[in-house]
Amino acid sequence: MNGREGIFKYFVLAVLVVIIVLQIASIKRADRLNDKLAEFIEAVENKQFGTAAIKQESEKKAADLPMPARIGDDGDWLVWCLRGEPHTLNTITVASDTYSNYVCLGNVFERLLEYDPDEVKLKPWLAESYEVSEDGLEMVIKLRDDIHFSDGVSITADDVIFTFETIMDPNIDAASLRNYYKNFKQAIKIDERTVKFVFDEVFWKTFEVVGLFEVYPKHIYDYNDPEEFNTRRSDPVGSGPYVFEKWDVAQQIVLKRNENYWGHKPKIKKLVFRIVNNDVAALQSLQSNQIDLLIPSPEQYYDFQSDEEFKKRFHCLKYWNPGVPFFFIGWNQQREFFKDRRVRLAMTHIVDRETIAKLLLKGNAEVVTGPFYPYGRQHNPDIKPWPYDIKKAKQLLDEAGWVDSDGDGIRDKDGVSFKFKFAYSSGRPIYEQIAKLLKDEGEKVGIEVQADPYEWSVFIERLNTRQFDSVTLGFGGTVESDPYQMFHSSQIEGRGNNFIGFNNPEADKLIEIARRELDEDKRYALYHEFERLLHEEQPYTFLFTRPSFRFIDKRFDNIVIHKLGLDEKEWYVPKSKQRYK
Amino acid sequence: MGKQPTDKKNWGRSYGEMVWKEFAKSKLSIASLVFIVFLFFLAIFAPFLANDKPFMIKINGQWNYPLFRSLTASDYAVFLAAAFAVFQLLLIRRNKKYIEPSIRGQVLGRQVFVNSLIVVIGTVLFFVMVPRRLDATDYKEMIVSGSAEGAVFAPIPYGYGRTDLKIREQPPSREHWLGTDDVGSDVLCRLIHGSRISLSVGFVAVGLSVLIGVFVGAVLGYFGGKVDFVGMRIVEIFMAIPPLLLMITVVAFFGRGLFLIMMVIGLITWTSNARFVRAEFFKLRQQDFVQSAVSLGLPLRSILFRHMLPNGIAPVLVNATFGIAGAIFYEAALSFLGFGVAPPTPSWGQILSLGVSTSGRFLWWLTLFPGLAIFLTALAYNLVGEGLRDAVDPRLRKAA
Amino acid sequence: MIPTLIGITLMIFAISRLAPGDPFSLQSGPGGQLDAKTFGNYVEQQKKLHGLDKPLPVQYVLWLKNTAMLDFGDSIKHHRPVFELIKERLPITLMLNVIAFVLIYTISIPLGVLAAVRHKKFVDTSMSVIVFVLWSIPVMLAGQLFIGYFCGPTFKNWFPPAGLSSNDADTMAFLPWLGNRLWHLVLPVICLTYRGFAYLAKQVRAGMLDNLRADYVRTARAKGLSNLVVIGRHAFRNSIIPVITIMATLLPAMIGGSIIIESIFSIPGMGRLAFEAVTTRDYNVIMAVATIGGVLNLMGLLLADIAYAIADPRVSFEGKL
Repeated sequence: MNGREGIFKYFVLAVLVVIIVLQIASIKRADRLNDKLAEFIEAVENKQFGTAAIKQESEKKAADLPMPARIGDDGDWLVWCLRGEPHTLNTITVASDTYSNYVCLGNVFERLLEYDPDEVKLKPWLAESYEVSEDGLEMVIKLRDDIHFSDGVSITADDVIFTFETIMDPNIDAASLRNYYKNFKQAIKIDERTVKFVFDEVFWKTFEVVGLFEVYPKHIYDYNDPEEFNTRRSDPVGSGPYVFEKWDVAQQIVLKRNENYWGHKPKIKKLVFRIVNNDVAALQSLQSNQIDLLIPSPEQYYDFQSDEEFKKRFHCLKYWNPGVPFFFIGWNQQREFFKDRRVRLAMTHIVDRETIAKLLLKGNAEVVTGPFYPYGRQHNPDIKPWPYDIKKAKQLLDEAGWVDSDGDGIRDKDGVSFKFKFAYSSGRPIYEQIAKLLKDEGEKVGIEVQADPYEWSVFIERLNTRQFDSVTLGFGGTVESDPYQMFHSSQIEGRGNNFIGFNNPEADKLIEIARRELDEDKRYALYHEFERLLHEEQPYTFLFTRPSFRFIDKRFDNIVIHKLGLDEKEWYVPKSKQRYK
Repeated sequence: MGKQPTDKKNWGRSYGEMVWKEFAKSKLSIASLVFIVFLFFLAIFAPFLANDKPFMIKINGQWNYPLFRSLTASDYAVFLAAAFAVFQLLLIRRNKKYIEPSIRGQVLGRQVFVNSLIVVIGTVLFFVMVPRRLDATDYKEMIVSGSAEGAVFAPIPYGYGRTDLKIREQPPSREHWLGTDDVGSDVLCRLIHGSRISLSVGFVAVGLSVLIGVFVGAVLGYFGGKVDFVGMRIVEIFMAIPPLLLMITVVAFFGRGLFLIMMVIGLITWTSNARFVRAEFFKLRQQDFVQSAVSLGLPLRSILFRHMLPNGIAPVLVNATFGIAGAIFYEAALSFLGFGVAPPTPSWGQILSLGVSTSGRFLWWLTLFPGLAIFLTALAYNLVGEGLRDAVDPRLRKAA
Repeated sequence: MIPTLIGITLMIFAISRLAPGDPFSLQSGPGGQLDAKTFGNYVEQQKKLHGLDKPLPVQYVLWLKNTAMLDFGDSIKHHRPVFELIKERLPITLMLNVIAFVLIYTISIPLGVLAAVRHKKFVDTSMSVIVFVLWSIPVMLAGQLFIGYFCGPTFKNWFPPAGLSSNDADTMAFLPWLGNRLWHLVLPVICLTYRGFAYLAKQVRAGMLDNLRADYVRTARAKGLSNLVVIGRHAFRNSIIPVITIMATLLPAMIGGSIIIESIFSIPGMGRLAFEAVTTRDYNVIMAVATIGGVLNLMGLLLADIAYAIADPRVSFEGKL
C-alpha cells in the first residue's frame, strides 16, 4: 500500500511552500542590507562635503539669504501621510499631481522666485534680482553667486536655459506645462549668471511663470533622446534643502536633509512620505504614532477639533491659503434647458449653499461667488451670494416658460420634460452628497435630476466631448488666476476647458483686456467687474471653498501659519521629544 | 388524467416532495427560509413600509391618496411578479392533490412558463402605461401648518431619497430607529428599499449565470469530444481571470447602472454552473433512458432539456443558492470600491461603504446595520443552500 | 494552455480598448489649464508616442509579440517598464496568499476531520455554526471593523492599520524586523483566510462523512483495525482528493479578493496595482496583471491536477485526456 507515501508527498508540498515563503522574506531582507551598505558609504562621502559646505556658509552673511535663519534643535523625522502615490518625481513631466508636488516642491527643487509667504508677492530666491522691461516683453534674471546643486556643482545660466528648453521641447512629456509658456519667444544667456527671457505678447501671468519654474541641473538631466528624460521618474536631483533617498513603491518616499545646502538648512533630518489609501487607516496611523502629519477630511477635522484628549497630542490646524479649491456646478449651455439665464439662476436658488457650508461641511467652508480666492484681492467683496429660495426659483422657471402642463409633477416646455443628468466623478463623497441634495431639491421645484456618476477617466472624456447636461467639480486655486481657459468663448470648441459653453462677448472682452493689464489695481478692478458679470449670468453655480486642514504631531514646534500656508522647513522638534534618530 | 383523489395514496412521493420533506427536517433551514421569505416581503412592500407620502390625507376637505399615486411602473411590476409567485405556489399545492407524480414535472414546467410570460408582458405594459410622477410635496409640513388633516402615514414615514442636512449622521434615536446617513436620509428606510436592489441583484445575476451555465454545460457534457475540449478552454478563460478584476474593469469602463452590474456578475460567475452540469451530463449520457431517447430519434432539444436536464439540475440549483449570497457580496464589494449603483438608489453595499470609507471616520450605525443585513441574508441563503444540498444528496438520505 | 492564455488576453484587450476614456486626457484633466487647440495635438502626440494610434488588431499582435518575449511594455502612468512594477508587487501578493493558503489548509483539514469524526456531537455542531457565520461575513465589513476597533484608541490599539512595516523598520535587526513584518500581516492575513478556511473545513467534513459511511471503512473496522488507522489511512486519504481540487478554485478567488484587502490595509500588491491601472487606463499594466493572474490560476489548476494524481493513484493522465 502506498498510502503513507501519498500523504508524505502532500507534506513535502507543504514544506516546499513554507520554504518559498521564507525565501521571499529573505530576498526582501537582502535588499535591505544592500541599501544599508550604500547608505553608509554615502554618509561617509557626505561628511566630507558637509564640512566644506559649513565653512562656505559661515562666510556668507545670514541676512543675504532669502530664507530666515532656522531656529530650534536639530534632528528627528517628519512622516507625512500621502493619500495616493505620485506618478513620478519629475516635476516637468508630471502634468498636475499634488502628491508629487508635496514631495518635490521646495524640498528637492527650488525656483528662481518664490512668493513671500506673508506678503504674497514674488521675491527673489535662486535669483538675486529680476527686472521687467517697460513694455512687459522682456524679463532679465540675475542669479545668486553662492547657489549650487546638492552635488556641489554651482547653478549657472546654462541650467536655467536647459530647464526652459526642456519644457519647450515638443518631444518632452510636458504638454500641459508648455501651455503656460505659449507666449515665450526665447531665453538668452547674457553671461554666466544672467538670463533674459523674451515674450511675444504681454500677459501678467508670464512673470509668475518664469519665476516659478524649478531649475534642473543640466549635468544630470541632459539627454540625447527625449524618452530618456520622459522615463526618468525617480531619483530627483535639485538644489533644495532635501535630497532624495529612496522610493519604496506604493509604500513610502524618503528624503533626507541636504547637508550641502547653500542656504539655511532646515532642522528636521528626514522627510518620510508614507502612502496610506484608506481614510480610516490614515487617522488610526496618526493616533498610533505611525505618521506625524495628516491632511484630514473636513468631517475628521470637525470630529477632533473639540476632542481635548486628541488636541493634547496633535496640533489641529485650519487655515486659508490661495491654493484651496473651489467647487461648482456647471450647466451645459449647449443644452436647451440651460441656455436661458433665468433657468440657471433658478438652479442656483435651489442649492442651499449656506446650509451645505454650515452643516455638510460643518462650518468649515465659505460660499463663493466666483472662481477667485475669497480672501485674495482678485475677488470682488461687494457681491453677495444668491440666497436659497425655492419660491423665487419656481417663479424664475415659470417666467422662462417651464411649467407643469401635463400634471405629472415635472415641468415641461414644448413637449420636453425638464429631466437632466447630473454628472460627477465617483469616489469623492462630497460630489455624491451634492448629487443627492440636488436631486431632492430639484424634485421640490418639479425638475427631475438623475445622478450620473462616472469613473474619473470616463468623466473627463465626457467633459471633453461635451456629453453631459450638468456637472460638478472642484478646481484648485492659485494666488491669482486667469479665467481665460474656463470662460473665454474661444475655449468652447475642441476639447477646451470652457466645457459648459459659456459664450458672452462682454466677458470675452473683459478677460482679454485684463490679461494685458500689468497694473495690479486696474487689473483687479477688471476682474471685479468680470466676477459681477459671472454672478449675473451664473454659467456655474459657484458652491463653496474650504480651508486646508492639518493634524500634526505635537512634538513639532515653531509651526507658523502664513498667508500662503505652512512651511515645514521652519519646524523643529525639541531634543527631549525626538522620536527618530 | 388520474383525477380521482382516492388514488392519491398509491401515488408515492415525487422527487420534489422527498426533497422538501428532507429539507424540512432541519429547523435551521426552515428558519432561514422563513427569514428569506420575510426579506422578500420587505422588498415587495417596501413602498408601503417606508414612504414619506401618506396613504391618505384630507386636503381642503378632499381625500387624496398620494402614496398610491406615486407608485412607479417598477413597483407595479414587482407586485405583479409577487402575486404570480404566490399563485404558482398555490398551483404546486394543487398539483400535488390532482396530478399524477409522473407528469407533474411537465405540468409544473408549463405553468411556470405561462406565468412568467404573463409577468414579463405585464411588466412591459406597466412600463409603457404608467407615467413617471414626481411628487415632492411635504405632507408632514402640511399637517403641521394645519392645511391638511387625517393623514395615515407608512410605519416609517421617510423617503429614501429625501435629504435633510439638519439631521445628518445621527446615531439611532426614536425618530430614526437606525440613525441617518451622510445627507440625513433615514437608514432604516434606505435598508428596506435597498433590500430590493440586493435581492434582485442576487436573483437576476444568478438567474443569468444559471441560464448560461446550464446551456453551455449541457452542450459540452452531451457532445463531449472536440466540442467539450474547445468549450472547456473557454470556460477556463473565464475561470482564470480574477472575477473581481474583470467586474471592476467592465463596470469602471461602461458605467454604473444597476442592470449592468447584474449582467456583469451573471456573465462572470456562470463557469461553475457549467462545470456542474457538464459533469452530470457526462454521467447521464451513458444511462439507458438517454440512450433510448436517442435511439427513438427524439430531437436534440428534447433530449437535452426535457430528458436529461431535470435529472441533472439539482446540484446547479444548490449551487445557485450559494451563488445568490456570492452575488450580494460582489455587489457590496463593487460599492465599496466606488463602482456600485448610482445614488440615491439605495443598496446595502453602498450604505456600508458610507459608514466606513467616505468620511474617514468610523460611524458604527452605518457599518453595523447594513453589514448585518448583508451578513444575515448571506447566512440565510447559505444555510438554505446547505439544507437543500443535504436534501437532494441521495447518499446522505440513505445513510441517515 | 497557450490558447487559453491568448483568449484571456484577447478578452481583456477588447474590454479595455473598446471602453471610453484614454490615459492622456486623464493626465491633463480639466483644470490642467490646457488650451483648446493645444489639447487635441497633445493627445495625438501622446498616442503616437505610446503606439496607441495604430489599428487595434495591429496593437494586439504587437503586444502579443512583445509579451512572448516577456516584455510587457511601459506603464503610461508610472513612466517605467511594467515588468519592474510587477516584480515589486507580485512577491507581496504571493507572500500574503501563500501564507493564507498554508494557514487555510493546515487549520481547516484537522478541524474538518475532527468534526466528521465527532459527527453530530458538540464539536461538530459548534464548528458548523462557526463555519457558516464566517462564510457569510463580507470581507470589507471584517476589514473595516478590524481597523475601526483594533488599530487605534477607539477600542484596542493592538495592530498597525496600514502598510507592511513600521517607519523605522530599516534600522531593526533581523528578528525584530521579522516580528514587525508579521505583526503588520496579522489582520490582512486573517481577512484573507477566514472565508476560505470556513469553506474548506466544510468540504473536508463532508468528504470525511461520506467516506466514514462507506462500506470499505466498515470492513476495515470489522477487521479490527484501530480507529486511528481507519480514519488516518483509509477515510482521510480518500476524502482529501476533492479538497485538493478545491485549491484550483480557491486561488483565483483569493487573488481577486486581495484587491479589497489590499485597498483596506494599504498594501502595495498586485490587486491595488490592478485597481489603480483600471482607473487610470494604464493599458499595459491591466494587460500584464490579467495575463499574470491568468497564468497563476492556470498553474493552480495544473497543480491541483498533479496533487490529485499524487493523492489518488487511480488517476492517470492518459486516462483523463
